[in-house]
Amino acid sequence: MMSALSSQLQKDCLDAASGSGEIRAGLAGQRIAVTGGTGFLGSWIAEMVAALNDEYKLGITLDLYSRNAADWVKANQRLATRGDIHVVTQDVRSPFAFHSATSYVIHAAGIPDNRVHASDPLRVFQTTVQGMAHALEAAAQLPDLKRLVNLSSSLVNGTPDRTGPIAESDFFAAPAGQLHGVYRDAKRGAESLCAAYRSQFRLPISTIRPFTFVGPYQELDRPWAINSFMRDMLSGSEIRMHNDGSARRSYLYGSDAAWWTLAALVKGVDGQVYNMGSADPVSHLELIKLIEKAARREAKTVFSEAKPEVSKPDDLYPELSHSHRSLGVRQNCSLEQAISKTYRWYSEKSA
Amino acid sequence: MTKKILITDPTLRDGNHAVRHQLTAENVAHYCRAAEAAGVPIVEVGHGNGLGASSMLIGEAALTDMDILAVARDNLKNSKLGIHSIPGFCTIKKDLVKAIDAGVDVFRIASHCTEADTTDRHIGYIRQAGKQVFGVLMMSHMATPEVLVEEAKKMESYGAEGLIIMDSAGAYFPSDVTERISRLVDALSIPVGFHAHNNLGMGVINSVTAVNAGASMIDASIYGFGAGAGNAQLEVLIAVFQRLGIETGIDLYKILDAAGLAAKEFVTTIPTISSLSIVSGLAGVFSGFAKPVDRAAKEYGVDPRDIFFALGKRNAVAGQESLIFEVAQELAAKKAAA
Repeated sequence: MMSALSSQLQKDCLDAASGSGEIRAGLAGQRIAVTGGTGFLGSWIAEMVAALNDEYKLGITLDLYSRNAADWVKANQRLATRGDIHVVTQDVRSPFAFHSATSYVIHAAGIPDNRVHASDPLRVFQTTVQGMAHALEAAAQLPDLKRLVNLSSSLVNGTPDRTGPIAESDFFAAPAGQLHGVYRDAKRGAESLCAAYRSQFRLPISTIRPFTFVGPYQELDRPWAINSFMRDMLSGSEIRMHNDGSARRSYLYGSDAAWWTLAALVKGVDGQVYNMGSADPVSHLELIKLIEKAARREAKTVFSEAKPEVSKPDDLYPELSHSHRSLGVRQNCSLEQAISKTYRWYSEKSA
Repeated sequence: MTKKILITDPTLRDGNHAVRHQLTAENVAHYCRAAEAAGVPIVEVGHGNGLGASSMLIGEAALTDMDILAVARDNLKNSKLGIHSIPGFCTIKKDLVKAIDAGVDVFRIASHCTEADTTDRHIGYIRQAGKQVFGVLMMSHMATPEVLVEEAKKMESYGAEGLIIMDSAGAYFPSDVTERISRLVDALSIPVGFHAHNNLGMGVINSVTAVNAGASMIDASIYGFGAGAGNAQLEVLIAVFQRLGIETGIDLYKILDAAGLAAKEFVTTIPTISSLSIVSGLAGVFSGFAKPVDRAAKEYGVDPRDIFFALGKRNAVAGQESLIFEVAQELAAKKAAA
């Protein structure tokens, strides 16, 4: 018997996947490999595949490759013990092979945690660039590869020096060789590797550039604003703002992110890049209001005594017309709904 | 628009170095009340080397960490209670958990300027506990500005809500401060602060220079009561900031009253720029070594200035007090052989 939380996740997935028979048909009977398979996106793809197989009998087989497979299996018995989901321990920094029947590959291995970028840049670079190379080599051996989708990063565009949405074709100058830019630079290198394999080996490769996500499976200790605000709200601590709260981000719920990724497998075009995220940005102060609504109480918001007099413009959210048009995807779960669901999930998990 | 600066007063922490960590409960209670009355935003207390540092090797404090925190907590209402903490001396279970329970408001997690990695778990733990946490890079003159930025970015990524560089040896000239602070302000999205030492007479001007370069947090102690030649002198700095139109929220008359109280009760020796302090600044060696260096020089019959320069060559840092005696022994042996 599924818990209420698990049932909610399954419903979220089916809502995100509703109305697109073409994509479901394209996934039917396929074997999908996901590197970084036990991270946020990999976990949601597992939820999505489980929901699609249960609801539509699609017969998808999912292989999740992960450096920390044992921990995920322990924490996610409901998914890990299913016959259609296989969890494989594999560090992508070493060469490996996919199951020979694999038809779709999602390369999601990466380290988006900026604490690791600062402390262990070598691991970040190796995981991103060597990991990409190993995944491409493994994909090149597959007899029936239909598509490899590379999960890149919105950071490859550089740091915007203006407000407004970022399109796939936008780019902003960024100095090379800076240690704290290692993730961005490595992701750029990974995209270049994909371009080389696509050109030299004619591999069917598309790229997704994810922006910011929200939802269950994100750890509350991750150093991103939405996680910090939710954690402080849950613990009753004050929410401290270090600027004027005007920085804007947009957030895509996990089930939508999983569905968009699967859509890119089926409908992606070789060499194309697709932004993935929400087109509706909110400021940090507006975000706190939404979390207050989900928590049904006011936050104790405190502005830092040493905050800058004038905050720099700080926007990061995607322009999505290309993704909408090409992949036929839409944001299904609103931010208000996403925060409500996520806050409830964290509350029940921490209870 | 008036510029605002957040002042942290480490008189009852850095000043503890100046009295071999012998501040009493009465000293702490009376000064906290005076600082509170003056509107000091953050009052930092504890052993000179921070939480968990009281030991035979680097000096046993008269008060335990919990005693000093309890007294300070009882006497601070609007002013925040801060502590300095160096992972290694301090552990999460043994010290940080108790400090949170004791009501500490602001945790300043410090490391040597090239070892920010050691602060990851401590900063993360404090953030998870919902308390305010700043990162502190000590002996910052020992790293290039580029390395300082990299180390500061680490602390920011771990969750530090502000970043302070310490001129622990009082070695900076104003141009050094401008270069480092402006680079940090450009690179970080959190406030940047500066903690001066006065070995070369630069404590106040370096603090003003830091503010002009973009720092929004400044440390200063009453009469400069701190390790070695002391820190930037708080009451002087408040007067200077007032003249410059920089807002600190601290009442000048009342901080002068606090200085009077401190002079009467515990600032028995007002920090001066002694010849040893000058040598410490020139050698780039931690100011807090002055007293143990003096002791070692007497014990081994060598020139304390030679000890400082030898320590500088070895890149000695706080916590390596045992090195002082090793160096003194070597100098004595050389002297005997000559």
